Amino acid sequence: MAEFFDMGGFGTYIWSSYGFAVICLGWLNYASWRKAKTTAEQLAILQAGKPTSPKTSE
Amino acid sequence: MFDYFANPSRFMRIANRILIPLVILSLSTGAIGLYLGLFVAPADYQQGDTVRIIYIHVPSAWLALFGYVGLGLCGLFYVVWRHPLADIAARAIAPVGAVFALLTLVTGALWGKPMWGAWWVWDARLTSMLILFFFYLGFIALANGFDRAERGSRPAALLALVGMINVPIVKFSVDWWNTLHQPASLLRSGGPAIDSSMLTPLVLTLIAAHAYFAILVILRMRALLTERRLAALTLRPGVD
Repeated sequence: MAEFFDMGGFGTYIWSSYGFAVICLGWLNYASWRKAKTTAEQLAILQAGKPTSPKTSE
Repeated sequence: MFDYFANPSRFMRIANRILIPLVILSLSTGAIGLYLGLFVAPADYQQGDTVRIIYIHVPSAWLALFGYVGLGLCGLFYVVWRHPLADIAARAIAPVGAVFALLTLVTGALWGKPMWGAWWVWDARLTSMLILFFFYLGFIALANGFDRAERGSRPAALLALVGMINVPIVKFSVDWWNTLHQPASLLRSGGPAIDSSMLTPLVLTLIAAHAYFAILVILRMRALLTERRLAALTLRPGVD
């Protein structure tokens, strides 16, 4: 197992590459899901209030 | 055909339907590809185990480049037809493409140091890739640099179009100039120049990266379209 992580002495470079990829792609994924979710929630709140607002204003 | 798909709600309906299959495709090909790449594929006879960086470096580079082609096409559609969906798609692609370009540069540096002895060289391939990254950043800055988002759309689309000049330069830099970077191994005349033990994981991780890119773009487009609707609703008098 230690041999696997050592990667013929290049472990630092290889695992740094994979680590950076995980951080970048993970963050991008989280940010994208979150933005899609929060905007959808805001829209749902607005739309839930929408049908009543014209009536109350009349 | 363009008119059919250019309807935002129809486009999003189709996009949402393929989202789950894309997640499954990305996870399965990514997992198998990385397993084969890290555990099964042999070390390179010249580069040793550092060759395993290829399974992130090459897919990232392809997506950074393909993403830019997408950005440029969206720019063209926006400049010529002024279609808002092209603007939304471009705004969704840009940050994803920028991250893939950054990933290409960083993994390339981490591969270059042990193999070339330098983190960075002003080589044609590396420099043109850095310029591609700057075009992405420029697009993001221009698209979001105005009080009303829509005002930035046209200058950003024009910038995206100008940046298209750089795409063939990135691709063919290794053939046009004497670069330290190795020439193309996959898309070359005469077929791929990689042994199948390394080619299979590479193709799988390429598929995974394409699917992952598509997932992120769909999610960001969904958020941007919802944002536009929110803005339209809150601006309409009598709603708030």
